[in-house]
Amino acid sequence: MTTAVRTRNTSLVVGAVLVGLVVVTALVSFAWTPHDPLLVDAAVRLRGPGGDYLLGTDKFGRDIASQLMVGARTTLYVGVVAVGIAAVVGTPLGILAGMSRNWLGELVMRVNDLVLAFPALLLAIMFGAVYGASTLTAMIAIGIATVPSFARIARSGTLQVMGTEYVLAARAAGRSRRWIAGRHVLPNISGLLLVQSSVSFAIAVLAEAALSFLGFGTRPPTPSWGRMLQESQELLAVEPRLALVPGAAIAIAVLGFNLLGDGLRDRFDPRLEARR
Amino acid sequence: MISVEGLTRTYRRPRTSLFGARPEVRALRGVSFDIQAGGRFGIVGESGSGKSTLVHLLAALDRPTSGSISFRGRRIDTLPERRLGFLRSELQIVFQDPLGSLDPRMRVRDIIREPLGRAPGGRERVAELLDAVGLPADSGERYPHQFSGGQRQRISIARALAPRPSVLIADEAVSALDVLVRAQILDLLADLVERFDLTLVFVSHDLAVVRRLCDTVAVMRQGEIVELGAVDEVYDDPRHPYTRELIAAAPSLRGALARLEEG
Repeated sequence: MTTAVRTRNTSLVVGAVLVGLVVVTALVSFAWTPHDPLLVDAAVRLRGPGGDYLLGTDKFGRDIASQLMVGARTTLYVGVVAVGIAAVVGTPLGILAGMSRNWLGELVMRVNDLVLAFPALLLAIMFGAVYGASTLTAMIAIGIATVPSFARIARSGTLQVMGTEYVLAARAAGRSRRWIAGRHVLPNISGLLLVQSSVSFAIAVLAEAALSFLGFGTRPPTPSWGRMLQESQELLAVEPRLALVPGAAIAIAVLGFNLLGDGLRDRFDPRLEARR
Repeated sequence: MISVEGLTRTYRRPRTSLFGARPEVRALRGVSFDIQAGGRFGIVGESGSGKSTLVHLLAALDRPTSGSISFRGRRIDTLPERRLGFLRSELQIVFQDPLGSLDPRMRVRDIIREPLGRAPGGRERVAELLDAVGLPADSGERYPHQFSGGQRQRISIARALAPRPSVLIADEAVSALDVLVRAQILDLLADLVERFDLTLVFVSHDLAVVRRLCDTVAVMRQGEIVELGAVDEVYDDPRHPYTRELIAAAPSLRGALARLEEG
């Protein structure tokens, strides 16, 4: 029982590899890129892949491989900040709602439903219109829109933990609600939250790409996968490569985080918890 | 020590339809008894008889619908949580499920010293308690899932003893254990009650187990006490038909052991 054999978790492995690929690419881009991703050079515009330019150049003669690498930074940056906001705001709200048995918990969840009903992209476009489009406003808007999913997960996990005998024992021992939240609830729902983070990260990556594509996200000249897609639009018929490359990158990142989330879910399934 | 007077507790279920009345469950319907200091009070009844509700009320984890509970002469059913500090260290519970009552994410030493809060000197106390309940000294570093059912119940008992309580409530504390381990834990409980001069409230559905440990017994059925008296009297001369039923139905520990030896 102490040395339980773990079944192979393919989702976790593949997801971790894909996410690792994106992370490593972003990290390497700080130290080295094949070319300056922002260097405009009309002489080499729309070069095909191969030779000096691994993935070719775009309509301004910028190196696509370099843009892709720096774009990975933007993607991860947005994901980390958006999921961070959602987790930091949503988790305490969910725990509060799960632990309070009066109107307060009910109120939190109803407001939560309200935000949940509001589309993330619409919120981001409104933010962009009011505060000016930028990576920052996109991140904050995506973060706010992701808060409810964290609050929900945290609440349902909290309700489960609050029903256990170890919480009853802690109450009988005179421990405060804050103690119970910190010592019992949070550690026991951390697995759920990790899964939610990974899944939310995938959604955030997609949302950032969509916003940049619409012109409400990352501003030029900062490379972003969504903006690369947008810039490829007018040349789609002639140079589909320009859309396929950032498209594939987005797909890899989203798939990676989703698989990672699935893999983590298998690992942290509360029904398996007791047997761990 | 503990005095219970006319205790009732009615739960309201969530309404099943929008305009329907909320169905009520009367878990306790007027229960009264006294527990003497140093007494060993058994509460027997089948599941759903209100035993657990009663335990929760005795530990002030829940509020009665009516009636009163006094602990050393002080009403505890009306006090707010922040003024229940004295009860929290004086009265402790050992729960039924030896795994469910231990946080899977906590080390045993943290579980055992949880009732002490942030008070210093926990390390020696944990070592003392591990020794008292017969667990190896290095158990503190491990996690609950690394122990057997009987050992987990020992951890649970160690935690309950940590704040040096004067009253120990065992809520079906041996029901989830197999017969031999059950006998060991019962011996341990009897030993500890003796050694630390505890008042014991022992809740079980098994009259034979209660008989082994307690001097007084209350037989509960459907939220009421149907019979209350010295355990031997109740056992040898049951007055209520339900008590007779219980005695006839419950397999005795001795019988079970005998069968085990035969098989």
